Amino acid sequence: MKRNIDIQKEWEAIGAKFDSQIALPSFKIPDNYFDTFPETMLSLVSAPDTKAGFPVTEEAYSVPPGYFEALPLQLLQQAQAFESVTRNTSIEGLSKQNPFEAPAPQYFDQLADQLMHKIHAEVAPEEELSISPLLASLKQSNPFSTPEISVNMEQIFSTVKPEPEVKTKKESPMFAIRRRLSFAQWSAAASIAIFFVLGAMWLQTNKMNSVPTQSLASENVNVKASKLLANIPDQALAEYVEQHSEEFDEFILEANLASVPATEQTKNLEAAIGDISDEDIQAYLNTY
Amino acid sequence: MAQDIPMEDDKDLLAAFKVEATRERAYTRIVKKYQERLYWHIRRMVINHEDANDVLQNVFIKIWTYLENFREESNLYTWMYRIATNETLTFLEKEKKRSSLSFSDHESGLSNKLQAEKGFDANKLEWRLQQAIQSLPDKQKQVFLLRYYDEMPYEEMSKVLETSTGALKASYHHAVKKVEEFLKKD
Repeated sequence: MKRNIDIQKEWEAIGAKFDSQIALPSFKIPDNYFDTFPETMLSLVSAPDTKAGFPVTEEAYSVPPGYFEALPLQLLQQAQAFESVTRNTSIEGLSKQNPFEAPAPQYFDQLADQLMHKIHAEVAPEEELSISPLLASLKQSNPFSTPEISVNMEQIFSTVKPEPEVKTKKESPMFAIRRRLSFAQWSAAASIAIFFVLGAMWLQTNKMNSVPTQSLASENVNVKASKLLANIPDQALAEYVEQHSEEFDEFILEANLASVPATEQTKNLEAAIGDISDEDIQAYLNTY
Repeated sequence: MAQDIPMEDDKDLLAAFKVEATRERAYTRIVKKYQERLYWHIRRMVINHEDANDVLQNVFIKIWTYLENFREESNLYTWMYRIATNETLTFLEKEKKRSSLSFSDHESGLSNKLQAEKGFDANKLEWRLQQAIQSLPDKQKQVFLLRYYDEMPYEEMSKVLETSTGALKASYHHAVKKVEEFLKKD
């Protein structure tokens, strides 16, 4: 670190004239501090009997005499003892004689068979059900039902799949909407049907209640028709009758026959036919 | 023919087990090969034969269930010991919970079981050794039994107990010291 005096000398050397404007560091250090500092530190760390730095106090703890000299050997002996214990699988003065009474001789002979029997008993639950046919039959039946709406799982999964195919992605949501629309359509159809039924019932009820009104209306129609017929000229009527006389005969004949009761009509016809001979019919046909 | 398949080696047994036709025969061979070792490993932990039999059967049922999925990353023997150890510890935990519910001491329960064993004699060193083993914490007990009776290498034991070999050595050392102290007490 440069001293203030050195800095001032440098400023003078380069002709700088701002020594009055810029204050130099005001901290003061003893003279020759940095010159003597390395020697001071060296003397502190190297000389055990130095009195200049840290005062050496008396050690509060005491170590048994010769402890550090004996420590390595002591640790080695302990490690060897540890090794001898952990390495050996026997303990001095002890035998590995088993004091427990061994199981019956056939125990180990039969153990494998016992285990196999136990395993077979555990791995065959279907065999257990053979004792109860009712339970066995119920095993496959499921009392729970799913909604009847048949959902195409592939279509649903296709919406989940991040496949770029737009069609499959669009079809599956439309599927659900269609189902909803179908239900809505059914509801609308049912509503309309109910509307028509109720309307028909209402009309029927009104018809029954409004007979006089209707008869009045028909009377008005008849009056109008009569007036129209009255306006037809007599000549036109005479010409029409002449031209369609046969139709009028048939009409009159049919009207007469229809007015006669069926049984009586049959009898008259049979009598009339029975009285006319074949010669009369032939003569009539020849004449007309 | 299926009967000609060699099934002495564990690998052969495993291969035979994976074939439907030879599965049961291979399983029977596995049971016969390892049943006594696993039985005594369990028995020394749970003490009486009935409990040992229950645990052993559960162990072999689990072996039947999971052997097909065994990846052969470790020895079959090690894998089976791990199942046996876990099953035994589960059993002992259940026993502890049961004894805590009945306000009885689990350790004294094990001691009582030991004393109820046929031929028990507290003056005989082998029975006192069993008492000393029962006084150990469960983990140290497992380590001691695997090392002392089964003479299992630490590397294998670390796979069975899923613990580092250093920790296992320390556990065994502690266990041995505790056993020795127990035996010197009287």
